[in-house]
Amino acid sequence: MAMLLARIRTIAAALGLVLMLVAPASLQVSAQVDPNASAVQERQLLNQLKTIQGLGTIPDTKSYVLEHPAGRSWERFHNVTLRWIAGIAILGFLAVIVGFYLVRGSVKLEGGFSGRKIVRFNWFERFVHWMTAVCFVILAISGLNITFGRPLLLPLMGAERFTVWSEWAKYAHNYLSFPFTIGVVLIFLMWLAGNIPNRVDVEWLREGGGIVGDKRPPAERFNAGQKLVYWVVVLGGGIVAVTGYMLMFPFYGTTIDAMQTAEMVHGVAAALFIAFMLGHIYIGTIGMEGAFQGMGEGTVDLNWAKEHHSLWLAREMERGNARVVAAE
Amino acid sequence: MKAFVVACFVAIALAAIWSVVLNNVQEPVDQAFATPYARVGT
Repeated sequence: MAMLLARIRTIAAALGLVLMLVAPASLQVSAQVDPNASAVQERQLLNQLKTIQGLGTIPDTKSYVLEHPAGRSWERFHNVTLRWIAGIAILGFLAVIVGFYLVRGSVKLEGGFSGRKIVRFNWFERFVHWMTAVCFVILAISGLNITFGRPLLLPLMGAERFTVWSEWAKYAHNYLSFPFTIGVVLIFLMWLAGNIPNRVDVEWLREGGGIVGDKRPPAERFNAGQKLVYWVVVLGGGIVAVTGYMLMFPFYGTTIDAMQTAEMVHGVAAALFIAFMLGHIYIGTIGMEGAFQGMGEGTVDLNWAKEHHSLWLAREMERGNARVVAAE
Repeated sequence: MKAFVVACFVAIALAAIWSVVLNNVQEPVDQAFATPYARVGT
């Protein structure tokens, strides 16, 4: 009996020894299981979801958003893509204008100035134009600062001066949006009747508009080029105004995604608007002799009207509306 | 010239009016983007 018990103890000890050797190996097998296999990786979430949000109990539902991956796409557009679009549009158009002026020069008055003037724009028209134009210039400069200020002006001005400048520029941008919008609306109403495209415009364009080539095609009060400027101002001004107000009143019926879209539309529309207006400013100042007086003083030379807006002049004479002012 | 000068003054006046409207309508950032019971810095 004692011998049997001794043998059983020996065998049990041997079995225990074997188990001790085998058990760690089996534990190592279970340690090789990947605990993260079923979990979603962060990169996967960022690529697939525009917004990552949880649940909350406070009324401010904006606070439920944990991450906004779509914001990274918007940030890239704002910091990279928009700068390329605006830079190419504005500098490219400026280069075209400079090149055109160097080749073509200013459009001169062929018959010379007669000294007799006719009223072209009344006081109210000029007031509305200049209020809109002045606001546009300040809005353009302050707006370009938002896009280009940090890379271009900050290194030159230093942090403190750039901050003060940008703060005042943003106030000007916000506050002048109101008179600019009023100006655009008044321009739309005031000049709508004279800016509907018609066949005269097709002929005017076909004959080079008096700026390409030597012809002086007939035109009404507003030629095709001016009608194009009108519609760019009305539509472009409308787009920047609407998107601008969406940004000025955040979360008033808009989400972050909607405001990001509005900012992209606002930036691109404004950049193209600025580029196009450079052409308007050029032709109204140095590009065409005698043009500025129309909006500066309200009157234009009779020969100028005959050369550039012959149909308008004829109609004014026929109606007896032409108020010819003698030379001073 | 007169139209230009008046236009500048009117633009400034309208901008001033708009600034008053905005200051009355809009809340400061630390109030607009926080609930009444979670005020930062006050």
